[in-house]
Amino acid sequence: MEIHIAHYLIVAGILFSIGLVGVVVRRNAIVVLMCLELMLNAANLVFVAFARMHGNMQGRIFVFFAITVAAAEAAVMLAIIIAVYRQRETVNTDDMDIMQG
Amino acid sequence: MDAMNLHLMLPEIYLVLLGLVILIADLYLAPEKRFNLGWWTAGGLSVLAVWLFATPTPETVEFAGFGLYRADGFALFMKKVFALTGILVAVMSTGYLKRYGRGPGEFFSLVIFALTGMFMVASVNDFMSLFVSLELVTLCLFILAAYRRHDKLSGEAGIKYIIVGAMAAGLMLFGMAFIYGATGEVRFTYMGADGQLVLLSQTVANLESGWQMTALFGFTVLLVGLGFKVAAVPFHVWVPDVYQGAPTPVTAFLSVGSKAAGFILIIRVITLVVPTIAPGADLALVDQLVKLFALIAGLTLFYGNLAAIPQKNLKRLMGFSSIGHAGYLLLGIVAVLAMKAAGEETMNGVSAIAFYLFAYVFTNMAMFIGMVIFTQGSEDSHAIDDYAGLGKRAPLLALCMTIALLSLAGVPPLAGFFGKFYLISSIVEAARLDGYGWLLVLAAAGAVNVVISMYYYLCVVKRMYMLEPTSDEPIHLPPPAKIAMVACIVLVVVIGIFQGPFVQMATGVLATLGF
Amino acid sequence: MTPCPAVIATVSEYVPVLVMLIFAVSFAGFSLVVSVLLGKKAPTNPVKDAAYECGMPPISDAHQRFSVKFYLVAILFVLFDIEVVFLYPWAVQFQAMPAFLFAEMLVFIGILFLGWWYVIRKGAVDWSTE
Repeated sequence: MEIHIAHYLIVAGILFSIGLVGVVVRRNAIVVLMCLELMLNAANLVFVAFARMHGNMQGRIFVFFAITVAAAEAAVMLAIIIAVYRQRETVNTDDMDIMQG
Repeated sequence: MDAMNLHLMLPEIYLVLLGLVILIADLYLAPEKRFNLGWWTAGGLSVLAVWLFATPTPETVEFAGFGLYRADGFALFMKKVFALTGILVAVMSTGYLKRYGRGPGEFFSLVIFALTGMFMVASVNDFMSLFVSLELVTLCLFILAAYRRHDKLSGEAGIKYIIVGAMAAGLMLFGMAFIYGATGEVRFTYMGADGQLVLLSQTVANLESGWQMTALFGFTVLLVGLGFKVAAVPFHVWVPDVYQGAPTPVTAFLSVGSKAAGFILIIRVITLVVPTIAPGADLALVDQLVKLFALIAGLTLFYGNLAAIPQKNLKRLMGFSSIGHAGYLLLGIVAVLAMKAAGEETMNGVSAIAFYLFAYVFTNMAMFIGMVIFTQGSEDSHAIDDYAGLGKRAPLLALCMTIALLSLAGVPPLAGFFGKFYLISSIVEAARLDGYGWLLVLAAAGAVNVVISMYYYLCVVKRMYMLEPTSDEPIHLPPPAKIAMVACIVLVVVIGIFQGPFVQMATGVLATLGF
Repeated sequence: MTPCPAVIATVSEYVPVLVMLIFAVSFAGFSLVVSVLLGKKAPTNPVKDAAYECGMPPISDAHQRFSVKFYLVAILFVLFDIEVVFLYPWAVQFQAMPAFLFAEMLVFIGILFLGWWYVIRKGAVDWSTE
């Protein structure tokens, strides 16, 4: 059986949708972070698949940068989550509702 | 094209070095001297600003970093705007951080690194540099928004901002992946097989229709991601909370710098990657984008201004007002897109946006500096009711904030009025095109919103002058912040009255938008 | 633009991945099952589990949270670790590299070390306090 570009795109689309729905639906900030990583990795998969299709390196190099940016983002987000946890002993995003109006 | 040309990147290199110097200097300075780092920052950025203003507008586009980076008129103009923003943020943060009393070194180096990102954003010529530089800006801003880490509001602002910001980054990356998939290129301009420079928009225009739809999907997702960054409705939900919770100087930085960065990227993507459709050719791709953006612009205008009316907190009000201003800036984007769809290359929308952003920096910064002075660097009294009787307690402060508010509302002859005027006239010009007569509705919406916004801005002014003060406590105006605020106000008036040179500066960016 | 080949891989290229997957899953399952089968099972009942003569009766859950200075190290590890990713493409090109690219990487590593220096001076890896 042959694997077409469409197969990769479908997998990436599923991963991305799971991530996006997770970000919107889940309440635990750590799970939200994991879902965000899922979204970024879905995009990386699309890049790599297309890079293979076009036979050039640009997409692959892009993935290197995307991975580093994702790591930095995860680090910053974890640090902020910990700072918030220390204030209020919870990482539930539903509890973050001081500001209204 | 295929050269490093490091000399073109000197402003960015200077900024990185400045940021590192401040980060390391913070480790070795005595604690009480650390707060002087704000003056180091302001000084270093002033040198940069003078340098940029002394640089002549380039006649042609030059490329650096093997085509990752472009130096053109628009980039130079926006870098001037960013440098001025940085100076004003540094001045207003110094007093604020003294009151807060924690880690000035990290704060100022993060501000400088965010500025580096904004400088890179101004010069993007590649999806890779677009993504990395925009993330540099937002990552620094995430940390800055949560900077008061023992303060619940600030923590909440930080976590909301980072979730939304990271989601926007994911969307952008996904969109870029599909544009890359359709074209096989991540560079906006590149050397074609025949040795000629090619714009990515030409490549997109030459695709078969199936791949063109792939590219359209990519554009849509990418522009939704950018919509989050510029706070366009319906991607605005984070704005009021983050604006209210973040430290006030950071809110100021967000409202000017981050928004300008988002708009620059939208403009770059539209001018360099979205194809110009030849007259009579199939309009589908660009026409869809015009409609999408027209809808978003209309919604953003009305939502931002209507939702601002019931606000009780001035910072939150500024958040909604910033959504309204994003709506005005989107009018310029719609105008540019409509021109593209009709096959014309006139980009008056871009110069209108450039002028608006230039005026917006001083107006908004004057307002935020006023707020920092009024609260004396704390985060306690941001309620609009607290401003009652400010005209009696601190006449100069009240006068400056009033002029800033009037300029934000768009009262002639202040700078804000002409910003809105040029944006609306760019959309009227676009409405003359065949099949785009309906854009006049959008122009009318822009005019109506001037009136709506006038109402809530004037409510604040009314409290300052018509009500009796609730407290007799004198307000101390620290000299540096006072000078910065008055200078901004003077510029707001000067830009309004003598627009000639400023308009010329803004239209100067048009010459080098393409190659 | 060159025409794109629609087929970019065949399933047979993925057979090693499948084998690896089966191996990993079955090893994990195997270890669990074997440890249950071969491990000694002590009879348990509430009386036997209770503290007897020596020791205090437990008053709360033993899974207490303790200060994790560790998280900072973990975050720093992720950051510094991931930067190595840029060394791979650079190293692949090492043979045919202009001196300029070599200097470029030195600048990159220099900035990384500056960050490391900052981390150490700030005491982020110093666990002795408290």
